[in-house]
Amino acid sequence: MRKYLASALVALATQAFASNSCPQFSPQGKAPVLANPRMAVKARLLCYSDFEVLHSGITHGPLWSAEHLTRAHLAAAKTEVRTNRFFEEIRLPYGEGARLSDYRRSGYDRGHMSPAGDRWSDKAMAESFSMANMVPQNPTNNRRLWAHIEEAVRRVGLTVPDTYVVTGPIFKGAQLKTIGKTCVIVPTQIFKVVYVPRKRLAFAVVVNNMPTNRYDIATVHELEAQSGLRFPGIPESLKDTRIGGLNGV
Amino acid sequence: MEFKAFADDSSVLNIHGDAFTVTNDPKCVVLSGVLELTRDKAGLVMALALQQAVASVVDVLSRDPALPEHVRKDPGAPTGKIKNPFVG
Repeated sequence: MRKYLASALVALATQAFASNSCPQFSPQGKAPVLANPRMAVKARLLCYSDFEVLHSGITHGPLWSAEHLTRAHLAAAKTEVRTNRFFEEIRLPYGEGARLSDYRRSGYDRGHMSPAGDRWSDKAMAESFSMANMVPQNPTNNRRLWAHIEEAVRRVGLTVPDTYVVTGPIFKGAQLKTIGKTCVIVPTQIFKVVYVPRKRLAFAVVVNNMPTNRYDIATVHELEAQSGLRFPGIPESLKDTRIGGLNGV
Repeated sequence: MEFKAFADDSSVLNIHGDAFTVTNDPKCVVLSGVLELTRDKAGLVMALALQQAVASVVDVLSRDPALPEHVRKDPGAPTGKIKNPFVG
């Protein structure tokens, strides 16, 4: 009971900071919940036109970024050609969001959580370059392994009417690295949780934030334990499924 | 919006979603990804976008009278350490 109350309180705390909500990006309208109350401090929900972010004023980046992919939208996204611009999120209180200068010469890429390549309109693609949707990501990882994982998830998304994806950082260990004057915290791992309602399939992918070609497949329950997040929109009965791997990664 | 090579460190040209990106920076433009240029109108749009970006790189480099043999790499910015705020 106490555990239940604690998570209800965390959920309330998260909602209290939300400027507005955008339930359309989560299954059954149930967004990820923070099970670790320390993560709820300065957590603010930001809605964009086709994804949403729970931003942390502690890590100065997203805790999760959620998107609802449809086959039709992914097909439209494939043809996008445009010049975009990374931008600082002015909706956040001063000091909470990462600055462009924090990443300059840091040795880390501005790694998209909800990827630009899933966005199906010019507006949404431009929005995906918000610094609130970025974590400091190892450049080799971002440009190779992670790009392949994003592409593999898109391929899954093109085979079914719709797919829910949550992407975010994991912060493990007693001490963490930071970049820039804002002290943007560098995640130790990055994950994706993928839920395909039509196939009654849910799984997670976890990679270390380093130059590696290796990814780990996890069950949703395992990812919940690692990340401090809960995914109430995914049926409990699917959270112990383990898939073999990702095609083409 | 045209891609202006070396003009800033915040613009990115996305071709075919994010299959191929051209990331701008005052000292180093990064081309990243795999691009399939199909023999159709979509392929032409992508090829023209890539051509414009590369032409812009060539233009800036060829017009620079003081172009060095090799640009000096910037020293990295200092990084910090912090106690994990989510554990304990």
